[in-house]
Amino acid sequence: MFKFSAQQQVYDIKGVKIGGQPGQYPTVMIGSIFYHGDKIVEDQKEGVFNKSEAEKLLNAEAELSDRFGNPRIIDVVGSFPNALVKYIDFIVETVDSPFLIDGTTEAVRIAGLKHAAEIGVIDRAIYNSITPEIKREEIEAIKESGIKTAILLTLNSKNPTLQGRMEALESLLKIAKEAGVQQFLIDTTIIDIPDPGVCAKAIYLEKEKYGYPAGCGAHNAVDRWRQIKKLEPNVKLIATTVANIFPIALGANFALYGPIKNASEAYEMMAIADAYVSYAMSQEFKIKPESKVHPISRVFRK
Amino acid sequence: MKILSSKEEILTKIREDLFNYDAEGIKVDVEKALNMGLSALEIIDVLSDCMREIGDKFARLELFLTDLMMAGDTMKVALEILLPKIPKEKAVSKGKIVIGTIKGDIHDIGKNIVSAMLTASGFEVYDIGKDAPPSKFLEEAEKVKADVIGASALMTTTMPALKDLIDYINAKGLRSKYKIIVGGGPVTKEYAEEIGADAYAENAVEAVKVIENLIKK
Repeated sequence: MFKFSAQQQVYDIKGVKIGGQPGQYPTVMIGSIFYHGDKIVEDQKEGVFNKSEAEKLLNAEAELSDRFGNPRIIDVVGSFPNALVKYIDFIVETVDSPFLIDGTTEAVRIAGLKHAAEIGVIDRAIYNSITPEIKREEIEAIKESGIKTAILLTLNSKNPTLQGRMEALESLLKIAKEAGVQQFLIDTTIIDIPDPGVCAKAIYLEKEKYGYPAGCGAHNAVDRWRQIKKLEPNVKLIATTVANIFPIALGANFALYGPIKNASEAYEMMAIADAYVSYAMSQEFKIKPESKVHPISRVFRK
Repeated sequence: MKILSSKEEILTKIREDLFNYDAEGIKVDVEKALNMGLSALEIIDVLSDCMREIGDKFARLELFLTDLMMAGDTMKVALEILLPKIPKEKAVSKGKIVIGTIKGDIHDIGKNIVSAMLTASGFEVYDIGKDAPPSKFLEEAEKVKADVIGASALMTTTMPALKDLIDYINAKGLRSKYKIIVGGGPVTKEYAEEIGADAYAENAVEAVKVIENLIKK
């Protein structure tokens, strides 16, 4: 393993520690709920969903988080403003975890943001996400809400290479600071099938230069791989595992692991990876987990 | 052992530049080739073969989106030097296309790749960017006397704006003047037919082939 030379930022978001050197804190797991196509959603426009199924999913994930020691953040996704507001109400009433305000358009995200501020839960909220081409209206809404933490998406639509991602990051940091954001979570942006290697390296470079917590949604690379359906059935799980582990091996602090219904496999693979990283870091650099609640002391036993 | 002539050598070098997405290299080597007496059309022929090969590799999952975009951008650099050198009587544009991402949608990677591939394949491309209202598509098409209008949407929530575009062009009584192709993540062939588009393509390589056929019709 390796130790980053830049000082590493560690944020405490309502008790969830995120960031640091490899092995210092467990990977924070971010699973999505109410996304487009989520079967628990009955009317995505009105935000009608099956509450008991949603609770089951959240409880199952909470158990996994307890079992392995990986903290969680909930990615609350809406396609319509009123729907996102309802989803946020449900999440803050049902769980204590921090959550992402995530919407398919800026109008949806801004509605979520305003609502989170109005009901007094902005300190639990993380804005997902600030992109390099964000509009003025959205920057102003972020500023006005007083939200402290945001995901910065290193999307470079003209140059989606490693270099392009790093260039995007430069402008994102300026925009985020202008929007009053104080805590930056860097998402190195999976676009295509073979991107996990590139995104993992972008995480490494970002943390080496700036030290902000970083991660990505590596599962998206496998989801884009449509032809995978024609291959052996186990290829998808193998590919998802490898895609998710690559960023962890290069220092990622969080994983946007996809639908919360996939939590069981996602926690298992990430917890094992965290344990390997932790053991290597403790031998080579004497960096041990900051808390006993870590996969290294949980994942290898029943 | 085959001994390459200096002309063959420079064309090989230009091929390598394109396959390595080396925009600086291709600029130097294309100029060198022209100075050696190669015609712009000869060089474009070689580059077009390379682009076809790159498209085939993309279809076989040997190359990916970023490769397409970088190859398209490199080709564009070469074409900027070569196209003005073609005598007017020999200059053949495959057609004019106005392309953009639909109103409400700011996702333009796919559109940028289609745009680069079309340019690289010899079309005149007028890219109106993203979040473009129907009026912008039509104004540009009228202005440049386009053959084809291409529109993309990446979200299910913005997909209906593709229909709005076609309805708008219909309402202006100009539908028969243009072939319309649509695409983007959630868009399907069935949806394209349902909203009255002339064609649909799943990816950039397919888009080039479909547009070539559309224009021939």
